[in-house]
Amino acid sequence: MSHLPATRDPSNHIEDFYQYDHFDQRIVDQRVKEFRDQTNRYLADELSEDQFRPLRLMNGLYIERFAPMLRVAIPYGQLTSRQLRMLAWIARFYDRGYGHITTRQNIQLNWPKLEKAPDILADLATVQMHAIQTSGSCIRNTTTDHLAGISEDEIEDPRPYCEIIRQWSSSHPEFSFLPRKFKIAVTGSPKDRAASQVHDIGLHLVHNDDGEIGFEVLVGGGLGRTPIVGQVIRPFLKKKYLLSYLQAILRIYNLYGRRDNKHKARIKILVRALGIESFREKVENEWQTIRTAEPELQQEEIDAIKAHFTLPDFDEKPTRLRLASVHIHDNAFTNWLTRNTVAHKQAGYRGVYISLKSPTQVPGDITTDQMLSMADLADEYSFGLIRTTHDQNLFLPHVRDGDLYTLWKTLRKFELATANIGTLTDMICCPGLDFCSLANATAIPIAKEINQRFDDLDYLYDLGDLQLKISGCMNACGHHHVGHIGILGVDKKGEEWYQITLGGSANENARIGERIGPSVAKDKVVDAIARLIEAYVEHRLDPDESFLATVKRLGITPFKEKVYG
Amino acid sequence: MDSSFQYDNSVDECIQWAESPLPDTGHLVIHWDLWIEAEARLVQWRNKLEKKTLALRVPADTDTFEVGKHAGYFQVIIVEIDLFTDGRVFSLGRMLRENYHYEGHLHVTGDFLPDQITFLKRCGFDSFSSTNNDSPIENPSYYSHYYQASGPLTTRDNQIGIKRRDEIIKFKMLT
Repeated sequence: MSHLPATRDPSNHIEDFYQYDHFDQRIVDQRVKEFRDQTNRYLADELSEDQFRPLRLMNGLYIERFAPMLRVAIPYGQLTSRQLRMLAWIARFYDRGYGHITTRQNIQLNWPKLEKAPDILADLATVQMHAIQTSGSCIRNTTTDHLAGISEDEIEDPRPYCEIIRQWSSSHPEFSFLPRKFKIAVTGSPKDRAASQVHDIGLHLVHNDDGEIGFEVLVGGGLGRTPIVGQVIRPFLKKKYLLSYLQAILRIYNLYGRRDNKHKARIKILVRALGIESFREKVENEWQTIRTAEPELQQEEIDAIKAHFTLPDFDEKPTRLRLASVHIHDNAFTNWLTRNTVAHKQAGYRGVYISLKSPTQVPGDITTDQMLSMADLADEYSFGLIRTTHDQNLFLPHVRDGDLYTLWKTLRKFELATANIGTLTDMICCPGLDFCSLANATAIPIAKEINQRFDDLDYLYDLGDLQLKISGCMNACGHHHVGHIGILGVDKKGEEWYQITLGGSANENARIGERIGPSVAKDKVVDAIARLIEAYVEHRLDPDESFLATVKRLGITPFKEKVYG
Repeated sequence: MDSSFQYDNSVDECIQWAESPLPDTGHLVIHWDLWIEAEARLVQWRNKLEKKTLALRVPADTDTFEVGKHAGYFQVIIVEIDLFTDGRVFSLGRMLRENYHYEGHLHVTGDFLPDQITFLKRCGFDSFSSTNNDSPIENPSYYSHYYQASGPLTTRDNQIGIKRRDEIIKFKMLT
């Protein structure tokens, strides 16, 4: 039951999704009006370039190499079919017919016109969407596990806390002009599928010794020029103190974070400079001061938000997946079933990954037609719900086993059934020099070449789980530091070269990858990757030993020798 | 406390009071550096100072915890912002109000945008003088409600938090 039943239109009610009440809607509508006025003032020369920049960034609008870029928030990766149809409309009407899913579960439009940005935001607001704080030196979209609410090992669904943080952090009066951007991820399972340890704050739902559920709080993780794995600042925080504790961390960061050098302005640098003990002491002192004055997060408030995430009405007698002979003999289907679907806590249901990494596709890109198809498929097979993942794919959370074969056949028609989830070609890749004004080198052409070289699915399956991540510059939007194999584009006297790292990981055992040696020329990158793979196949104990496990066991030397030897 | 304090440019005249004889009435603005340097002498002159509106002028990057300790001496605190993207001023305001329970007048001056005034108000500031343009500062207020509770309790009426929404709705239904 909702805390605001009167404000909901029952005919539009969607389970397992946070729907705005009229307060949320008003705040987003008012933000659109504010941004429209800001844009008009800029166009009328009443705001300078320097003045407008933080204001537009705070609303997701970049000025890139060839055009503006608008990053639209998908709060903790949750979308409805109606919202996806609106994104498709916007991509078609205001842009060039596609969007790009990011590692922080948002979607980017690469070609909007600046003057049209307010109209886009107004259209988004009609489906309860916005671009608030998708960029800028403020608290960004809170991200989470795409298996939230459905995974069997979950301690508690993290999404209600993401929504609480979304509301708390939106247009925060104190934290909208921080030293630098600030990213929070929340997980509810012991497995980390949200790269929470490389976030400014990672929140893990955990049990304490008394069996109470609260948060383990990590701070100071991040990638970029100085990759650092977050450290535990508080092993257990009671839920009621969630917001006051965040308030204390953010305040200490806001006061003491460096503002003289943007490359040293993230919280990770402050935590490292002070040391975790001293940083913790400052935070805890401030928290002791404010915790009695700050309103506590009451259980009934949590319950009110939780009520939005009740699971949909599952089929009481679900059709078990019966692999009819036709299915068994369909190798392509069973491969897809193995790689692209995942167990669901509800018997008779599975979660389905939609790979946005087909061999012909820019990793993470999705066309308007694919968006529309996905919206229809979500309506038909997954209660109208779609999620975006940290790995830049889509995910249908609740699909009946009995529907999987039909769904797969339809996905194939739209080139959305590439069965490569978790494999080498399921790459994370930033837009690189093709779009981004920060980049030193291209990333997308490297991804394309890797796809061409490794086009044999059976070979990919034999290699097993392998995460390859590509960034076009040291800002590390492609998360190369935490790729099992990482590729980083660098500029060498005007030419594009690439550094390769090995052994990184973004899961619960997060690790920063190690550089294997000097950077390699653009036309040698894919050869180098192929040699790394050869070294793995030669050295693995058996086919069950993963690439990462082999690197951990042997270190980088045998790999290095293979590449440079 | 002089609640009727109106900021005007004459307040900008920072009197080098340590060297000059003190005027008997009117505003007296003391820069933070001077204050820290000569705090001991001030205590000596306490009687004379009590007749004035005593204001402290403090750069936004001053250690907030230090400002908080001294805030009680002043009826007015004027915070200077050098660059509008320096968000320390927001924490300074909130901490003065909420941690140090400062009840005097908070003024902000320097480089800030009209777009930031709502935030500044919510962080406890009362008045504003921007060096960004000569025109009077417009304060477009776009928002009817806020998610966060911040600032002095009396200004929290339109802050919905998460739970307060029910209360607001019930209140509206009753009235």
